[in-house]
Amino acid sequence: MVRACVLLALFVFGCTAKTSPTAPNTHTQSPARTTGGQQLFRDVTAARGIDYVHDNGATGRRYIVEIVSGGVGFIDYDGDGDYDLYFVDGRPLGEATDETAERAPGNRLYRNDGAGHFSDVTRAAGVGDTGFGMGLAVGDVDNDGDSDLYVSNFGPNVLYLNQNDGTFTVAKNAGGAPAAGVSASCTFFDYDRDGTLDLFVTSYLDFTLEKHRPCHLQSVEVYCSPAAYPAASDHLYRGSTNGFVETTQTTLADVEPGKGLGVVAGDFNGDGWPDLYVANDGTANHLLINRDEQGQRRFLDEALFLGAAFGETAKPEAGMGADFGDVDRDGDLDITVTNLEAQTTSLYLNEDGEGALESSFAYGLGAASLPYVGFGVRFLDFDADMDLDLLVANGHIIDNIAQARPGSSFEQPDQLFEQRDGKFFEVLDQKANPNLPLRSGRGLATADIDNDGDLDAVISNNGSAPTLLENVAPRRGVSIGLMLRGKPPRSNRDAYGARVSATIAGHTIVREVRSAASYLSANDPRLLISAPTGTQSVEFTIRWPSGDVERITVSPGAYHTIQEGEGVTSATPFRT
Amino acid sequence: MLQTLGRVESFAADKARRSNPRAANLAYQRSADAFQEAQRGVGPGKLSKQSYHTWAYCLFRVQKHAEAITQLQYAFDGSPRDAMRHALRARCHNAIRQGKQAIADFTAALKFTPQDVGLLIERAEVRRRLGKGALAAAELTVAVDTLPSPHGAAHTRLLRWVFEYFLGQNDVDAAIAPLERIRKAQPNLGWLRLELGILYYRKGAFDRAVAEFEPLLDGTLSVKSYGLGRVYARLGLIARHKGEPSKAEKHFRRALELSPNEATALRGLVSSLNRNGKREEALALIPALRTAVRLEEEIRRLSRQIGRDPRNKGARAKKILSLCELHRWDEASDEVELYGQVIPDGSVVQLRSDLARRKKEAGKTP
Repeated sequence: MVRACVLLALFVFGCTAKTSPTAPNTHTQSPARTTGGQQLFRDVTAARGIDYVHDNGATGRRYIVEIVSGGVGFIDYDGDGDYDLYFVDGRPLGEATDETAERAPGNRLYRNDGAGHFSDVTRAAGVGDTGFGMGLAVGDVDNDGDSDLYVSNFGPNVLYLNQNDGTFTVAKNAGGAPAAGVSASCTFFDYDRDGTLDLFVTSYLDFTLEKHRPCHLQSVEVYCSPAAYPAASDHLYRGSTNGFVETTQTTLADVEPGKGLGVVAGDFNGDGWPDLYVANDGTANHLLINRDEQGQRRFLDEALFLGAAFGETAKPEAGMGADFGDVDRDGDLDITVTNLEAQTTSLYLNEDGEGALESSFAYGLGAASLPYVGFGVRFLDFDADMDLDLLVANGHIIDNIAQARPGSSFEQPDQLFEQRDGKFFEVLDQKANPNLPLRSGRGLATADIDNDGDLDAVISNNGSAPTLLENVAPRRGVSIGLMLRGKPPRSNRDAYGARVSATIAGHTIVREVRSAASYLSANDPRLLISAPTGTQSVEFTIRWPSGDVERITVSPGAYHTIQEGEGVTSATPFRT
Repeated sequence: MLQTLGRVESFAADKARRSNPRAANLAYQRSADAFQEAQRGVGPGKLSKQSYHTWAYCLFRVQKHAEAITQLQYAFDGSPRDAMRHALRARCHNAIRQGKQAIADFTAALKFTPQDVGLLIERAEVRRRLGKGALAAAELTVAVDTLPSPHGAAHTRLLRWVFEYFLGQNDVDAAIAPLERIRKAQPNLGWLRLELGILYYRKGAFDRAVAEFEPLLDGTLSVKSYGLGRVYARLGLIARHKGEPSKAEKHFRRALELSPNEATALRGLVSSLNRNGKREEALALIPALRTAVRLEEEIRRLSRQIGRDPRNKGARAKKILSLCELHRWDEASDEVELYGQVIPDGSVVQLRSDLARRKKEAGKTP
């Protein structure tokens, strides 16, 4: 037993630099995630050229927005078929910043060379917004064939329109979607299915620097909890050829303001119309069902009725990040939400669109998640065994928690849960491996950065360097990549909301195309679906946002581009 | 003579304490003043060791902790009574947040009385506050083995502290271990089965949880009615996970009979009714669920206040009021009695009367 532990320790730490959790704002390498001596994810942050360090703007005044910031996302900004990386930065609040300084705060764009190596192209691309950044959303808002970028801020939000030449221009008044206030996660989706992307922006709190107040825990000054400030209404903007028009007053008329941090769009009830799940911090979560009312689309919050408003104990929890995924392979979208310590990472199993059964304990997720404060969260099939696993970025919400509550720590281990036989198992847990790297995780995004047919991940750490994790897990099956392209004007070009289903080896597989999910994050929207080794081809049924249904048959081992109405138009083999 | 006066004043304080804390406080202050006057006549350290101990105790009671520590320096005489003196000084240090000194004195006291469960737990509490809760839990776990009667109430008290510590740390496995040790010695404790059942539920071991609940359900072991309500709520959740919504509905209804308007059970009932095709009935419960969630949040907030200051009369009274609003009469009644124990100023009589009136107005028999 002792020998096994030593071997594991050597394996985990032997090939990487020493971590320095006590030295924020310096770049550190973290050990890989392993199980049973088998490496699953490898920290390649520095090796792949990422030298960014998140600035949460902390100056000691402890403005609440500082500690929840740290968005990150993937965008194929140059349309070359690989995913580039965008970090959303903070800045000191209430004081001037030297914009010409070498490391002046500002968002950063790193271009991917196709093999997963990155270089900073922020200045050339013109996307280095210096507002106090929170999150981002990626989508082709004008259906012109390239990916545009929306950045949510504490303050006015920004829309960058892609010029399709490696540069962006700033849209006036954020294209009609300025939001302002404290915007957090946001998502492009087509709620009215008119072929143009709409935009939902969560609002965290009714907070300004003037409204800031000091808060204490055990006589120690700490970041306030959201209870210190009132809730603010989220924003919904309808997209059109002339930009965005806010429709919050009509579409969200019956929705009570919450303290929104996370949002994910998906067709929860299977009626073909995209719904929204909003993770609220300290107030009931929202499950906004997209209904038709006299020809108008309207969102009704049915979370309380369907069972997705609270965690296991029927009390409002600290919702942070959220994702949709068919965990139990029954053909509908289940929900996961990250929360504060002493609350579980919730898992709501979708009951045919008519209920959401809180199942964190039944799935083995509950007890393991209780000690940590979860933020970013993604369902992913990291080992190609056909079921969805779960990756969670953790980090406490109070930077000096160790002072206020001895024994607690700001930096916490991230968690990877592998699904086996209908239960989640923590692949490497802190109790068994107390030397795991501890970080202040916030945003978490997934993408196949090297186009090798598996999902890699990036985690943005509040006030410190991010963690870029390359998936090196052994694959238990083969993968099929799907890149869907909608056909405007009936579908949005990104095909956000398209639903892909198949029966593989007797299992129902359902996936939806989206970019925004997790926490302040944007993800690679391509679908990676696994099948047993030896599978020659799989037939997929695609329900496009337009409502049209199409069937295609493709083989594993490549990314297949499928153009709505035209079938498979190209295939790019996975890199080896 | 003045020493005698001091002892008389202390005795008066003890008598007064039983009826009126304010009068007791005054008496302790008078005793402390008397000792001070006595010392003026003879100089520092010249009174008897016991006098300094008594004086320090009076100062401790009137919350002059630093002064009490100063006087205790003259009280130690190497006798077994030094255990009490170390313990008193430890409490004084603890009150003024001198945790390390408090632990040193508790440890010194425990050298005289290593099996004093109260002292062991007090030291553990200080360790927990200093972020050394795991060490405290380990110490108490070891201490259990040294007890002369390892199957008695002291054994249970120590292990229960360990259980509650790990529960607070959200470590389900570590919380189960001390309970399993208690079970070996005392298998027939109702609260133990309730807590174990809930912990096994949290591990996702549903069949094991049901097995723990069974003696509570068949009446072999008893818990408070609202505790049994928690059991039925968990059974309802388990039935939902097993795809038995009709059974779940029955369990949630029973849970709500035992613990009215309990939010977890109400939510489960809404979900089960919806699943059983009773959508209208489920929708009709939503306002009650909203109210329950709001009031339970308020109760949790008040409980935290009470945890920080157990003598907070306002918070205790508001908590009782919130329980009344939820029609949880048994739980409210227990809270009233607890109020009476912690705040012995007679105001509990009015609370009892209010509770009876509210129950009557709500259509219950007082």
